Amino acid sequence: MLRLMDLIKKFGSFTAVNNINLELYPGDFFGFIGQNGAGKTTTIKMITGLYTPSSGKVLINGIDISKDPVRAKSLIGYIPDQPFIYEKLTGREFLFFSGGLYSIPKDILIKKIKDTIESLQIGNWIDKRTEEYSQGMKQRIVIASALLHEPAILIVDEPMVGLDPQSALAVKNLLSSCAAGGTAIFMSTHSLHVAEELCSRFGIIKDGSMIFEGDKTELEKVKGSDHKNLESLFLELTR
Amino acid sequence: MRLLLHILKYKLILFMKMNSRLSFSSMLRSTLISAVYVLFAYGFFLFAKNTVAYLMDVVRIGSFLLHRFIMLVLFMFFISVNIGNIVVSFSTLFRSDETSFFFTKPVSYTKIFLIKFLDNFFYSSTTLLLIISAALIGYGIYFHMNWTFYPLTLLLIFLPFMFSAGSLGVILLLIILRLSVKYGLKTIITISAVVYASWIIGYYIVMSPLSLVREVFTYWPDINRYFGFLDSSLIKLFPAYWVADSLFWLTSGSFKYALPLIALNLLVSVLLFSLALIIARKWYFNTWAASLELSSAEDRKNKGGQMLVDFEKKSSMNCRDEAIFKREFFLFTREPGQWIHLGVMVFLMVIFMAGISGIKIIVDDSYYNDSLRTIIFLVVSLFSVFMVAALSLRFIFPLISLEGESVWKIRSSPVNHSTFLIKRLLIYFTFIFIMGQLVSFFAGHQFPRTLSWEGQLNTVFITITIVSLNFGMGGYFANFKERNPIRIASSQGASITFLFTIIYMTVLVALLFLPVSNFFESEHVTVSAPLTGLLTASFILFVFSAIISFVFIRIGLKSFTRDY
Repeated sequence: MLRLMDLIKKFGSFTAVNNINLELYPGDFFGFIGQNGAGKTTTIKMITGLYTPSSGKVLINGIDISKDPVRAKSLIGYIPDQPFIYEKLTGREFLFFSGGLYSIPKDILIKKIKDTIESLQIGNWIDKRTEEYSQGMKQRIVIASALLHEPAILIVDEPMVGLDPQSALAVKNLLSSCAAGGTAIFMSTHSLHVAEELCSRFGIIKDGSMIFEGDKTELEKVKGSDHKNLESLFLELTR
Repeated sequence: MRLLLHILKYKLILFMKMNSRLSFSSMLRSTLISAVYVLFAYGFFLFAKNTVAYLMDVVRIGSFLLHRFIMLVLFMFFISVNIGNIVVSFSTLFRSDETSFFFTKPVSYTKIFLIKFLDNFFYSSTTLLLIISAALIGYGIYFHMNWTFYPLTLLLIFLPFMFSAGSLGVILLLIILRLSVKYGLKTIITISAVVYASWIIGYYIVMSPLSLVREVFTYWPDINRYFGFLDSSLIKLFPAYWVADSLFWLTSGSFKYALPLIALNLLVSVLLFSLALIIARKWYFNTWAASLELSSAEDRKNKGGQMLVDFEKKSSMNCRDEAIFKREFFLFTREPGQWIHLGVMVFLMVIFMAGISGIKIIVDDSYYNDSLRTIIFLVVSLFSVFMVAALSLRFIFPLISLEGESVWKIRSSPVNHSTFLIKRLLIYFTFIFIMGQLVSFFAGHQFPRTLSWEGQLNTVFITITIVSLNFGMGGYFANFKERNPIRIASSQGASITFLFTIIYMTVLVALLFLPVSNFFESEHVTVSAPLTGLLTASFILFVFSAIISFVFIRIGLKSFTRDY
């Protein structure tokens, strides 16, 4: 479903992402963990087509994103770490705009927006311009916009930033139900307990290289008796 | 004062750091940009020097009329700086994150206002100051002025003149916002626009350049003396008059007559600036807080009525095109900086189209020779090109940058980027194309029909080229972090684009001068195939324009694939 092959990104002489390989399948919930500047966002930007890899490939359902970006991107939903949205549009207009980009027919789009507004409890302010929104409100609109076209793969960069506890819970439930419904999720996060709670597979990135990749069982093995939780393992590995 | 200097120091450090990354490519880029600026200034120097020489020595209009023409140019200049400051200040004083940051710190509102005002004024006026300096040198050299004339005129006459325009701009903005809270933003802006437009029209009616020329020429050949008694007393109330008249006296060697005008200009500048600070101290924070409410209040009002464009309404377009067009419509119409500026520019074009009717007198008058007719045709045509260039610089150059930090949405969506950009470009191109054709028609219809058609055809090529140039350069210099379209359109990249446009205009003149001159001559002497000459020029222009357009469209499209 999502396949990263020997993915490398260099900025001048600096290697931000170094030879990452990964394969995700339907229903996988992959937690991508790393320190600040480890290369998480750079990897995500290559998956979503915002960066061109220096070498290597990103395949979405077998489609190379650099060769057929339109078809590949139609299968992705992207939630960036900074929810920048058009300030002069209302939340509802932004959702209509997003749906239009994915060619969702108007009748279906109207119904989907209505359902999303209910599930994310954003009805009170959906018709205000987004310039009046808080960070959390914007984040919820961006999440809603990424789910409208029912993507096969969801790429999420720090989803909990700026969310209040109720919203964070709603988002966690939403992401879990997406994964349960067969969506493959690639989630970058600093919040280790969120990763431990939601993810079925984990990857730890340090200085651009993946230093651990495996599922819960493999994680338990590595943890062993020395590491009680993901946090102590992460601190140990990234020291 | 210490706090103010502290903030200004860090702003300066920030500016220096932004412009001082040491690498070969950045140094090469800086060198090229500096070279372009030097060329730009040199071009204006030559233009000013030759224009003054031409008007004084060839057309012989006399020093008084020359300075009344300068007054007209200065009046337009005042209006540009004034309107520019109203529009830019709205973004920098009321919509910037930096302002919100300062409001949370123990800094007085007056100081915040002062910092943002100065930042705004010098950022948007640097290129204008460069143009003025270059033109001033050209002007001064013609009149054999002493070297002290240049710095003193710049500091004591032009800087206060521009400062008055800027201060008046923010005063008007604060008043508009203050009144908008009570009576609604759109109502107040409409009333302000009507009052402003009436003021400009009134100025031209009172000034009446054509009748002034006729009256002065009744004294021919004794036209180098001072004809102040022909001036309307209303004109004497404007800073453009004080500046133009003081220049007249300075170049005539009568400093004692210039001094009161210079002092008045300085005094008014200080008074307007002080008034802006006083009003800001009382109103700035309140208007800032109220401005946050204004847009949402307008939204609620709009919700009540039937909206012409609505995302929920069905459309005959396909989903993607509909989404793109509707987004563009809302982002444009909800950004006051965009539609107000568009209104102002269209208004100025209408004035130009209406005002150009007087040209016919000169075109038909047998007193004027073919060279003069050729020059008039080219000047009028260049004015049309200039209009297209101004619209393109303002609305096409910022096109890619205005995707802003939300660019991730388009870049990560299943949209063909080239198609997306071309569709966006076409929206603005269509408008500029129509405006270009209209201006060209009104400028050309008083000339012989063949020339008029020639001009109309050339405008098609010219519009495509200038729009493509601005699109490509706008993409190359794209700045997704800058949200203010006017700041983007007055950035370093925009200045360079404008210089390229001027170079293109020079090529245009070189290409058309001979065929047009031949055409006028062919009306009374036998000239071989004047029409072939015109068509050949158009063909060369077509090939030249096609190459430039292709290259710059490619640059623009390519820029959107850069890493974001």
